[in-house]
Amino acid sequence: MVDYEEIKKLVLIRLEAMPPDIKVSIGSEKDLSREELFREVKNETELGKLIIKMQLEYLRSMKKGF
Amino acid sequence: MKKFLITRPTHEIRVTYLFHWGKEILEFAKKKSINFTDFKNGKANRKDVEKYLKKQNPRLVLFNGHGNTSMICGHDDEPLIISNENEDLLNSKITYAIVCDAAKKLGKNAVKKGCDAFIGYEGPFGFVRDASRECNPFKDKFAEPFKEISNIIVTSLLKGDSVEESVEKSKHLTSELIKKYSTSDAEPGFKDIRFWLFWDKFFLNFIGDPTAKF
Repeated sequence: MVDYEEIKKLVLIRLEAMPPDIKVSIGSEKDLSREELFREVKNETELGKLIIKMQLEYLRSMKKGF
Repeated sequence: MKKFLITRPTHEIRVTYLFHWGKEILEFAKKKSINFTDFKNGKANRKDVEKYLKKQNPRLVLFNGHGNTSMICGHDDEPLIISNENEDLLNSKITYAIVCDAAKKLGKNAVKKGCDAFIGYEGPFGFVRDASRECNPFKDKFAEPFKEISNIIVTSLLKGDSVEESVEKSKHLTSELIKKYSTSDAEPGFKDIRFWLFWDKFFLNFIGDPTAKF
């Protein structure tokens, strides 16, 4: 069983390491820089929670070789 | 002759990217001598789209824009298709909506009301951009793979592949790109877009007849 807090920590580490020139366009309202994505996850906003959940799915899929 | 309709609003940067992605699809359609109609900029409005869907009855409709679980929007975020209001206009058509969350509810309702197949996203559609390339989406190396995994759905359909085959081709390409960007010689930045490619693959789905073809 993967711990939610561990996944959150992993997402935050990955986001910190992301190049600063990357922006992620997501949803109708959001257009996020690295720092904004970091805040969404850190504060566990609706989007932040979805990113954490999707990170778990991503790791599961990675095990299967995508 | 079968018809293909595309809507391409341009009222803000994110939909402008989709507008540019659509150019490649239209070039492909031209080469294949496919009868298409391009509702771009302000022409991507409810009145014109409704009129076209009713009178011209295109076999394939591609919506680019914003939206949510119950609507697909056009230019200036004007709702074009609204759940429980006019989704019956998609009757007998194949629809692909590059619109957040639209497959969740609207897509299902549209199929219940006669849409042959609805391809879309059951969550927010996302893509990565190079912040320094906003004035030229064609040169944006980070957005390029997202264009590829989306455009392949439409080009496959236009080639005659079924809905299921077209969606599978996109998912397969996404997996291949993720693997490609996982190698040690992948360019910096590309490792970071793998998660977002997976994101779109995860949410991409279709409702309706898997064997439906253009």
